[in-house]
Amino acid sequence: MKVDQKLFQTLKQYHNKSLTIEEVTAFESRLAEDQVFAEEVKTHETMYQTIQQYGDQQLDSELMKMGQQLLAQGADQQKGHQKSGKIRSFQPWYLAAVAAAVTLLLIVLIPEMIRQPATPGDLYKTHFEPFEPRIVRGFATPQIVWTEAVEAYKQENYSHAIEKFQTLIDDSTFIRKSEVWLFVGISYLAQDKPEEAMDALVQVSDTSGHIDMANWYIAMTHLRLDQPGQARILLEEIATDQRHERRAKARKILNELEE
Amino acid sequence: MKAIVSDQIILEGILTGGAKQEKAIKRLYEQYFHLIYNGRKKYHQLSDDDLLTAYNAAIISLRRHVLNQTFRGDSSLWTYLNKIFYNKCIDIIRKVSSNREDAYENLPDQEDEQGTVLSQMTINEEFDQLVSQLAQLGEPCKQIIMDSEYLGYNSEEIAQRVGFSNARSVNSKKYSCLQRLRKLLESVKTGKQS
Repeated sequence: MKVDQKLFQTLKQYHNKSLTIEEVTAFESRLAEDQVFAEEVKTHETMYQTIQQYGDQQLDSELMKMGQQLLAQGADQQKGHQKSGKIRSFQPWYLAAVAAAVTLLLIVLIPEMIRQPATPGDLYKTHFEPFEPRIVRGFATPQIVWTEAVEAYKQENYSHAIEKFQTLIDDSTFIRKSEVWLFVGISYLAQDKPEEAMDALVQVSDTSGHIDMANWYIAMTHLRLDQPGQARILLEEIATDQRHERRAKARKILNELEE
Repeated sequence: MKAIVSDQIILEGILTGGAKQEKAIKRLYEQYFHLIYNGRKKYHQLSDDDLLTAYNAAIISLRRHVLNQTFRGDSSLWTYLNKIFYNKCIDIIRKVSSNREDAYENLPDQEDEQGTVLSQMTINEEFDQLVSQLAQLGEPCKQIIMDSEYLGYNSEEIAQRVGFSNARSVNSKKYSCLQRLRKLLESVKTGKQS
């Protein structure tokens, strides 16, 4: 049997969903009714999938090389930072000269520095505020723990709140964990622990009703971590989402980031 | 630090195929590589190699989801990739540990390959053998098939890449290469490997 290039093309379009509804219907009907055609489709589909799997393997090995290089670069940079952080002994005359130069530079640069646009850290300080929890109904057994956690959170006793929220996360009967992860993330941010906050916030499920607010706080976390590029991506998404309650704030921060 | 490339540009690159797709994948990979560093803090039980495996698998899945329109742009690429990466990490943790990660609620669904009438047609148990047959196809057949059917280069571009005089020669060669591949695969199926 020969390779049917047209069939091969149809399969590719079928997988990429670029066939019309009519074409899909016709293809699937023939597949169900025509045994010989179905056998040919099976052979071509196996060829197609083999090519895709082999391609994935090749791509994986290329990415692995790239990843190892990036990790090695990261390690080198870290070593560089550590090296530059070592204390050296300097001559007093040298220190005095450096101090004088720095003083002079400060005198010249201070007015200019005052006019500098807001840094991501400044924007974070201006715009971060913990989100007020709303009344949640429907919790059975863990209701008491939830109430205690929220009370601690409201009183800004974030360590205690995280402890209580963690109890709910560990409770297999408690199903609304996305909401809890959101408050754990905010609690960590309020304690100025952005990395822990990020870890918690990314656990909020995309399908939960809390993903919008989680994305807002992930953007805040990126600002705090001095990752303005990552923050911008999320803020642009929020700013253009007509349903997002923080869209005006997102636009404001974007404007300040671009200044 | 490189400028952030927008989702739109990355998506267009992937969908265009060819050199643009390769460039977009490379950019995507570098742009969100910090997920590996986040992963180091989050998944202490995973080595750097495990994290790279998870990240690579997430990038490859994302590429496929863009091409087959499973990813429809309802979230940002970062959010989507982050979620897949998280799933892949959990998969690896489950493999390396007998303890289930019960602490994680609402584990996002495993790769959401939608079932189609074709999904049951392939002979999965023979895939390893089939893939190794393809690897032995030799050049330029292997490159022509992969450039055309995986990376999405057009025939003119492939002609330049493999040193053929024109697109027609590529098309003709591609047909004979696919024919060879079919024979190889049929030999695996019938157990009569050539």
